[in-house]
Amino acid sequence: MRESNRKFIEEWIIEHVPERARVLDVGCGDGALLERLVKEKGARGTGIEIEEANVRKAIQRGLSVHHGDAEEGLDHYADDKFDVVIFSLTIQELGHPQRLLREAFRVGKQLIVTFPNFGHWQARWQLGILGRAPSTPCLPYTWFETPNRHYLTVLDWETFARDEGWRILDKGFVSCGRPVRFFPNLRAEAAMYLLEEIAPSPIQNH
Amino acid sequence: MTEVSHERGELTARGKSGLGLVETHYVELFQEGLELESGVRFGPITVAYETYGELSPRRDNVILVCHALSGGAHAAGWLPGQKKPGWWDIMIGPGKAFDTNKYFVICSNVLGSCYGTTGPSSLDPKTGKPYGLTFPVVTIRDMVNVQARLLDYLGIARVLCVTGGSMGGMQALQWAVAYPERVRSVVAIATTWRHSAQQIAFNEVARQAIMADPAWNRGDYYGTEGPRMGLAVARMIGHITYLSDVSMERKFGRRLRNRERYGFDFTSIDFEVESYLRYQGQSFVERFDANSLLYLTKALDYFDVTQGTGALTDAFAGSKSLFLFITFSSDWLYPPQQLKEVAQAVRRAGGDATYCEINSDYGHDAFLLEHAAQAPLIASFLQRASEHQFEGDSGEGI
Repeated sequence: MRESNRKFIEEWIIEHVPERARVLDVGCGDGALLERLVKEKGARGTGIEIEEANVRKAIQRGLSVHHGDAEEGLDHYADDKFDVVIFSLTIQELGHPQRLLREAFRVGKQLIVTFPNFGHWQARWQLGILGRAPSTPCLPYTWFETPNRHYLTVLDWETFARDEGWRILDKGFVSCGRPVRFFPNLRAEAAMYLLEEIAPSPIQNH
Repeated sequence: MTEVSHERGELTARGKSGLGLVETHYVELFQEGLELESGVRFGPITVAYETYGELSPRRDNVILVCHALSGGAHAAGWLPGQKKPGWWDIMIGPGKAFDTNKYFVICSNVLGSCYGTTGPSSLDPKTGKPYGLTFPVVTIRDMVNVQARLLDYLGIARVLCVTGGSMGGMQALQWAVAYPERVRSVVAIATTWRHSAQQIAFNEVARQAIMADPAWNRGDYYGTEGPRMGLAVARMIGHITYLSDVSMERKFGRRLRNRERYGFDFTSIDFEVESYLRYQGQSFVERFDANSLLYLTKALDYFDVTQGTGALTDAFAGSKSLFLFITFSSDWLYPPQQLKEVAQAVRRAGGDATYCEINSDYGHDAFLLEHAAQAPLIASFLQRASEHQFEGDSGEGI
């Protein structure tokens, strides 16, 4: 992911987290985003992170962190514990994103999900015309070393959200660090969504 | 990397501790007796303790350090005439993780031990002789109750942090559930919420080694040499569980001791690892009481922070403390999973828990060796705990 896109995504998330919100950042990395949310929005935040080096950095930022694999589930968080659960550039690397996203609606009221858009024209060009697995500034990995396990597009996500019964409260798209307004599925390198649940999910009373 | 002497748990720090000379204090508590978990009333109890740093005017900078099985009140600094500093000197002192420029650190010897606090080797005032097996069986809960009374005596209503590794970590967990209103934060390292069958099994072998030694004499050996062989073997067993396969392989491998070929006998020492274990066993005999080892291992085995219910989440339901849990990947005595469960239970109970598993080859000993990895985590966590607003912060303590 380009640095400029990363910055844009971070700003978008911070803008969409309410003041003093309780936040869970799934795959929080070194805690840079959480730290900003705590400082700038007065959020009460906690994170889950799998890499020890990142966990250590996050703790040294004064954050509360769980060192572990998010895929083990969120059952150690009480129902409705959070106002917002963040999955920033995480879901494409998860084994079972559907299961975890559903569970996120048990512990949180709203979700912020961001992901690299596989429908971007460069990816389409490389796969569709050149016949090569895409390697773009947004998806910069070779096929044999990519951490990405799922390739999704803006259209895929919106269909998925609708099928899951989630309402899109707001969305944003970015390319080269600048907002994308038209034809996002073709032009956006990454997408950002704020969602809430329309009806309680089947695992609500988990 | 810290240099570790042959003696377990005592680090040879480079350079002298910033704390300089320290002093062990003694106080007699529970004149009326303490009601133990077993139902027995026992007292009076002498408590040995040390303090480092200065108590703030608001009395809100207290850190209670709880020691492990063979530790004592002397956690940091130097006692006159001793060649080594306290057992956690590397972590406690000016500018260290438990920064004595900011915090007032207290460490006391646990009930049942042999380093100044009343234990089986202490004199029974009724008979004028050592208690031996007439000393009541004590538990982690009893140890914590004694510490709580020590804090009362020192005029401390609430501590900023209770911390410890191994058996010390159990005390820290017990503090959090028994005195939630007195504990602002907990740092529990390389420990568990209750012993598993394997952990009990190792302790039972250690106890049997002592009790099988004829010199143990049903605990009545004071004034004699005592069960030297039994205690040494008990320590050897313990020591194996403190290391890891990788660390032993690296440290000893199959290297032979002062010889090129096997001795083809049983009286001499073949392998380096044998020499090491014998040294560990022998030096422990010089510094620890066999009965204390029986009592303390029993306390470890009886410990269950849920009081037998197994309902870990319920145990932490009343806690408002912030928690930091640290484990080590190669610790097979207290595997990371056990403390991870506690972290998850605290969260399930609505609490705030941070959990970090440090990658280390040192096994359980990593708790005392991996200070460079732990210190920044603990320092940052304590800073957060200091700044955290707790319920009832406006009114002062209890």
